[in-house]
Amino acid sequence: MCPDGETLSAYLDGEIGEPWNTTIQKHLETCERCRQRLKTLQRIDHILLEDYAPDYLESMEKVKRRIQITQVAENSIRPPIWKRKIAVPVPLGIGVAALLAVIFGLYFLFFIPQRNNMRLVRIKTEPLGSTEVQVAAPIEDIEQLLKSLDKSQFSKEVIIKLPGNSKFNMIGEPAIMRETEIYRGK
Amino acid sequence: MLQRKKKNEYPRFEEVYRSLFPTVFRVSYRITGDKGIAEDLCHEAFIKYYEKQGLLPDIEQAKYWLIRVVRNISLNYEKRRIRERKAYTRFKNADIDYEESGEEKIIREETDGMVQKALDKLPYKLRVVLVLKEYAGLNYKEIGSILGISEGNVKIRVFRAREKLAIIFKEGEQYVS
Ligand SMILES: [Zn+2]
Repeated sequence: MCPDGETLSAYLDGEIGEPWNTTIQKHLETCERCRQRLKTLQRIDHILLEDYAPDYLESMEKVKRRIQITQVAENSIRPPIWKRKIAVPVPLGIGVAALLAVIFGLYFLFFIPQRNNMRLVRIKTEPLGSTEVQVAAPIEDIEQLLKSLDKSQFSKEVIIKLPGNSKFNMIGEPAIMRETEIYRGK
Repeated sequence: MLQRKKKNEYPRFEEVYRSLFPTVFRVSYRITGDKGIAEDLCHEAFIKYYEKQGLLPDIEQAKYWLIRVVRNISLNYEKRRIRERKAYTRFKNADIDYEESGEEKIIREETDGMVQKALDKLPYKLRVVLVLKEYAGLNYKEIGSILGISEGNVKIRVFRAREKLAIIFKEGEQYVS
């Protein structure tokens, strides 16, 4: 006896337990009509999943920015959502001076409270021989950082130079859009 | 024994956002058929999640929770959409010379795929179940618990939705021969 449509549809979704699953499977081997019915259901699934969908990345950015704005507007006591450490991997040769500038710049700008658990600099040697210096500076709020850099009275040059292939891993940070270079001050 | 996680072992908001936004957005878009509204739903859902995150110990839990919220909010949009559609029909019937500009038309054709149009034609109840099945990758049990209906009911709705889509596609003749 042929299974009804609901059962066939559930079979397609892998929602039929044993022994019925095997029973249906066996039935399909012998019943052309049911094979066609199943095929139609499969085709619909296929159409749904193959369909063009709007790119979510743009929306992801947009919504994130809106969430930040909402947070600021609603409650300033609440800690900001995007509070994070920022880690900037840079090849050793290129930017030690720049990195020092970053470190000192941030240090003086923010008077970073002593946090013993946070290492500011980490030197990492890759198996292939390249060396990376990672700087981690606590940034409460990237907007605030940029603002502070803008109105910085110390005429310090802060260069954050990122290699093109850097794993910045900052999806959605609106203020830093993977620019290769950010210049502030001078 | 179930051990309660320490607060700092809970996933961070950014992590949850990054890993779940694609799914939550896809579900929102497929239910509402509108990118802008989908963004609104995501915005609201993630704000709510942020206020709640201390209670959700892992990403999976967060996923169910967010999808449930999106579904709840989408219901309001659905009601509004139906009202607007009625208004639009009246507007059209009033025989006002209304033409979309060429540019508008192109954008519409690009963004409103046949498939989404077909989904939009499904009754809300069927559409939601099918979307959760196909675009959130949830099983019947999970869908049932999110919607507060039985697994048997999910099974019926998934099938009805597929049945209706088959008819819609057939009418469109593009896909099913
Ligand atoms: Zn059969």
